[in-house]
Amino acid sequence: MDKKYLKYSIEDFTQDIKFINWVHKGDGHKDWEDFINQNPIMSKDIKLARKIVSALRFSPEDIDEVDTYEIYKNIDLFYNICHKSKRTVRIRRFLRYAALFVMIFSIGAAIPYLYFTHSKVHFSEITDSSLRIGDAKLITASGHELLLTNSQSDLRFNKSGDQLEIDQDSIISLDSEINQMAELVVPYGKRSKIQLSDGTNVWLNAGSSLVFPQKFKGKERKVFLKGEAYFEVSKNKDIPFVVGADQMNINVHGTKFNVNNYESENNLEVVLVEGVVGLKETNFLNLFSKEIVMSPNQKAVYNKTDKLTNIESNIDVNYYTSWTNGLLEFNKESIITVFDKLSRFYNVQFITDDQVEIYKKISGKLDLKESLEVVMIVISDAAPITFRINEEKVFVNSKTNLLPMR
Amino acid sequence: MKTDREIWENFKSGDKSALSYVYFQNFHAMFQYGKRLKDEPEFIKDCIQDVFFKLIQAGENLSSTENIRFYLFKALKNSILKELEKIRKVEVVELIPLKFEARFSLEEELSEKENASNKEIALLKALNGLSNRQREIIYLRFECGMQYNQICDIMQLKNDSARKLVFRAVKQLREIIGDQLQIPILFLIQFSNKHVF
Repeated sequence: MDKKYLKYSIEDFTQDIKFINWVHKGDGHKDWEDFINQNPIMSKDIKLARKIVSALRFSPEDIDEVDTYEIYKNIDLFYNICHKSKRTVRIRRFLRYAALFVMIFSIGAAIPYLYFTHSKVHFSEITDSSLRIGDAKLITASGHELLLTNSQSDLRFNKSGDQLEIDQDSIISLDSEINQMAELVVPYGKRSKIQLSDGTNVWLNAGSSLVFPQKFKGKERKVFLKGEAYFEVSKNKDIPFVVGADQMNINVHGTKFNVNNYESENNLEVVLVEGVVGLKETNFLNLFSKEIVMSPNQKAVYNKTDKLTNIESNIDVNYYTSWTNGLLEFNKESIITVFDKLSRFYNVQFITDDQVEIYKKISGKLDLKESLEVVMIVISDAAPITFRINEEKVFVNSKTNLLPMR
Repeated sequence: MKTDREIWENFKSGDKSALSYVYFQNFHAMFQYGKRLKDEPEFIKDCIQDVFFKLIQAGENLSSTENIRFYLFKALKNSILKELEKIRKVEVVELIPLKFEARFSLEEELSEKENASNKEIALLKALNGLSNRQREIIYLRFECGMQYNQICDIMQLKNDSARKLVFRAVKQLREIIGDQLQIPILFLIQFSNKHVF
């Protein structure tokens, strides 16, 4: 027994973990008995200390063992999902090397095909489920994943692409000599701004992913986008900036524009704020398809199914770019479209009844820095709907019976 | 026997056996602690699950620790606070601060006892008089064996104030219990396996 106990007061004993474990669980019972027999003078104090410790016990809360296992099952499932997605990234990277070999050995005929699949190979598995959970992350060229825990992260690469500043505080050194692309994945409910090594600023909206080289090499600066992003491209006449968005390349010449290319939507939408951009399809007839050149305040909508592009002029560009400031503007839009955007911002699911979508289109501006509750109240003020938020689901019902018949 | 630090490093690197070890070693204790902070079992279970989701996701980015239970308790408390804040935003209610409201076993027994002696009544009064904070510290120290600096960290208390608060509680009880030793010892000393986490 430790000699220190000889000097212990009652209060000291009651706070000693060894002593508590003796009283609670009987740990070291013999040692303590010997100690008391050898030091009978301590006996009274120890008895009293025992009583005090015993008086300060809590009765245990009940829990069903089944629950313990049920929760573990969920955790196990989650573990598998997380580790599975890492594995697919590795497999996909391998595929890229494989593609390279094919190209070397069978140059001629393979080119159009490879070009067509090119943009698909780069993306890690961005399934709906991986965008639904967790933090935004940056997968560096060397394959490391950096989690970005803020809901609005701010990233900045230095010119040589070997240093990354996160949220204006931490700086991370990276290997820029690897020829792999890096990827920024922004799940629902998050947003992110990134400055690439050439000085181009990209705002990524919720549910989006950008693939880019940490350091630009070669004749063009090419990045790939899924989802929605606003670009402010730094000027460099000699090295054009190209945004690959599925079946379309957007060629840029120092400019500000917004690209909306969500997989769930059938349209690819490009809005030009400043400068000049050209759109070019990337199918294997690539060489023959002509470039569509856009001028400021125009919106191009490319239909992914019938592959036709429609240009709209004199649009209000603020309406398309306000999300970078945390605002959502809509102008004569169907309420379902609005819900669709909100669901990405707040990472919730909207469940509406059949009647909701028949309402005339609504216009307005929502501050997305407000809680979903506040935003929904604003909408329900403008449109005849009622809503109920239950965790990650928003149930929307029409107030049909309150409306006069049309 | 591996140290907590070693187990935690394995956990961080994505070792599944470390995950299940950490979970089954700590789930009960986390639930016991969480439920006393917020008496809604389903909510607490969700929070615990969430803590593990986040830990799995963070992987190698997690900081190291010498005491896994302390780390998990702290994470759980943060998660509970965060979830309550979310609910508060949605339901537009005032934020109710987390209170450790659990009652002592003896407190429950004595309050139900019909012909309690004067001394028992005094003891009950003294126990009733212990603040939520004192209860939480006593719980973390006595039931979970945590270090005082860890307790201060979890409860966001100044250094040493946890020790002082326990000292004060013990002193009060000592005056009552020490006074002639009349309390039946039988129900004071309970060896119960249920208390062992």
